[in-house]
Amino acid sequence: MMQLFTQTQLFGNVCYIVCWCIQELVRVFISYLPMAELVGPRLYSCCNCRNQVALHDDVISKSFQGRNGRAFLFSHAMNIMVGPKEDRQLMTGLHTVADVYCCDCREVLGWKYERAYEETQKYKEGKFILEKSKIVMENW
Amino acid sequence: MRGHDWINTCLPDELILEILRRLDSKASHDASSLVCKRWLGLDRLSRSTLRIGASGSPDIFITFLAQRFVNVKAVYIDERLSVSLSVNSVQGKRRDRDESVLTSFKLHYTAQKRPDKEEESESLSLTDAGLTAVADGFSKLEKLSLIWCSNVTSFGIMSLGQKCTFLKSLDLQGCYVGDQGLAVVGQCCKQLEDLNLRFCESLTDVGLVELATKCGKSLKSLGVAACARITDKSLEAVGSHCKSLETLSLDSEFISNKGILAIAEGCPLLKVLKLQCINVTDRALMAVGVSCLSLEMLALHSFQQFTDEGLRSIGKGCKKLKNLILSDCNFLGDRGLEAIATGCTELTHLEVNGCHNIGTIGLESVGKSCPRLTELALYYCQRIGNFALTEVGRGCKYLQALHLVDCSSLGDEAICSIAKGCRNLKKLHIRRCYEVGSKGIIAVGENCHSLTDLSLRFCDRVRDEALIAVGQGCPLQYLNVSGCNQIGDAGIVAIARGCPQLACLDVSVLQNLGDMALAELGEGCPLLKDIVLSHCHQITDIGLSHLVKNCQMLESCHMVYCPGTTAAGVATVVSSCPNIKKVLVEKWKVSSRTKRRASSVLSYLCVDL
Repeated sequence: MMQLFTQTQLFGNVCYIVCWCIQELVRVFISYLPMAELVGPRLYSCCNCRNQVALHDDVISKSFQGRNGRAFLFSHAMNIMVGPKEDRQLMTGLHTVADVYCCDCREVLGWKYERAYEETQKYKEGKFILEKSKIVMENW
Repeated sequence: MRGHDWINTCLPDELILEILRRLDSKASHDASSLVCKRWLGLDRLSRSTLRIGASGSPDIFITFLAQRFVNVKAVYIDERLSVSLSVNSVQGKRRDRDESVLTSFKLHYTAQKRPDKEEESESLSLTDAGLTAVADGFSKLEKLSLIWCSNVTSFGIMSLGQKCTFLKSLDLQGCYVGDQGLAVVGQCCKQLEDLNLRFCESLTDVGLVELATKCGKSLKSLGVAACARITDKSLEAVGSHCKSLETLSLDSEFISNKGILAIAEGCPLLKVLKLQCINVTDRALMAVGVSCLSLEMLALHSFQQFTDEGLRSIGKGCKKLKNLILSDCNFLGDRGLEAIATGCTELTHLEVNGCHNIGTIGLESVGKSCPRLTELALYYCQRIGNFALTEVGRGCKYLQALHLVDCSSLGDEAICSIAKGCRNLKKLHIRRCYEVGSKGIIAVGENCHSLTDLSLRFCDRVRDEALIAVGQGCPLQYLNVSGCNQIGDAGIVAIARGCPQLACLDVSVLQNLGDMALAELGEGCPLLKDIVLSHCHQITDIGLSHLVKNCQMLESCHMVYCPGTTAAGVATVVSSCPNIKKVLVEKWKVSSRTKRRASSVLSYLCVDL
């Protein structure tokens, strides 16, 4: 690499300074890039429509088990409807849960823990399970 | 005469500077700076605003900028914006060589500037040193915005305050600064008008009281949110010293009636008040209604304890009220809204969001008493019925924007009355109002000839005939019919033929949309900039190629979950559109060649979490 540098001393240096300057200037003038591309939290959306249902910042755990595979535990979910409460016997014991639906396309995405009956499971109350197969994320 | 430059020899520097100052778009400024060295220098003198995202080594970067752009008056630093510059975007056959030499030059440069390696990794976000550099370099600074700059502390703010005495606007959203910094700003920046302290969690009453006492006379706007140690004491100081306060935004559980009362009594010029304080009750609102007679905007958010009594006193006193937002205020009912409507007849903007006790009667009185209403937004108002919008249609002739989300009792009758009565309607957004069908939208197409923005998301009773009518009557620039699954090719073809000005189109989740519609769009809407085709199961590469053949202005294309499209389609979109900035697609659907050529434009959807 050092040899490459010495080879192109004169003309080369100018080129590279220009490239570097352009790079720095682009950093300054980022305001030309539309805001929607750059700013914003990482969002999970419904797999069936484009509704945004959860923030990556709200993920508590990625190793839960849903009805059909892996699921994530979220502290909050948005743009969802919560269905009627029912008692279910899950792997971790008896819970009162309510199914959670995408508010636009009504796809079942997971459930919300309404009540837990064992002390060790109480931390789940009020939190949401969204199944991995039902949510997608835009990777920017 | 070729090769001879007239302008540059005749015009002096000052004139060229004046001309450059009048350029309005950033693109023009950038272009003028590339003309010649002289213009580059003059253009730098004419720049007054800098925006900086999160970058590596911002401190050095700022020093660099300060040397070049000496007349800058406004600096916005937002650490939430991450800019990753991919060297891959450099195109050409000699790419490999350019890349390796660029890296070697960069290493060379960093080695020069920072001899010891330890420093290299630390300052990835702005530190006090950087802020001091800002203060040193831009002494004429009037506006500074530091958003989520987590490494900035009081020390940096102190040096900023001491050196930039002309500071008018300071935004410290999300920065962990302490009281001493704010105190010094108060002592030195006597022209401070705008102060934003949202999410400055380490601030306490001491700092804000000190600032209010020292430079309160000039303060016009103040914002405080999630600051647990700012209490009524600060507001009392603001009330007694900031007589010119016009805008106040408060989001805090630690503020009670005492604070708001102090503000109401002390700041009679208050124009904008935004409250999200669960411990504030009607008493405070009544005081505002009695003392703040210039109030133009009032926003009440989230589960507050206000009842109709409070609104009644606002209606009685704040006759100049133009803008009212009521969000999740469950104790507010029809009587309160009626009182506002009859009292504040100058109302132009109204938003009712999730207030479950507000029903048809409240809205009816708005329609009857507020003829100047230009924007109405009703979110999650299940109880508001057709008759409310009939009255609005009858009374509010100047309505320009209507937003309806989850209003399940509103149907075709309501939309027809709005269409016939509000002929100046420019924006209509309806989402999940399941009773709205084709009839209402046909009326819109027939009557609202100024409509440019239409959004009908998940209104599954709307059919093609509605879009045909809209295509004939409305000069649309923005259309969103996501989820209206009865709409098919016929409707979109009608839009393509009738709305040549269409710039943004969202047809996602439409199961019946096919390639024919895309072909027609390609021919009829050459100005199309943004298109969302996600979840359309019937469109294929053929449709895409027809679309991009003529839509040369296309900047963004979302095409996830389109099983009929392949890597070839993605490649077509990327290569045919010279202005393309973003293509959202599944990672496995992009060929490696397309990845190499266009990685800066591609955005991937992670379906495999």
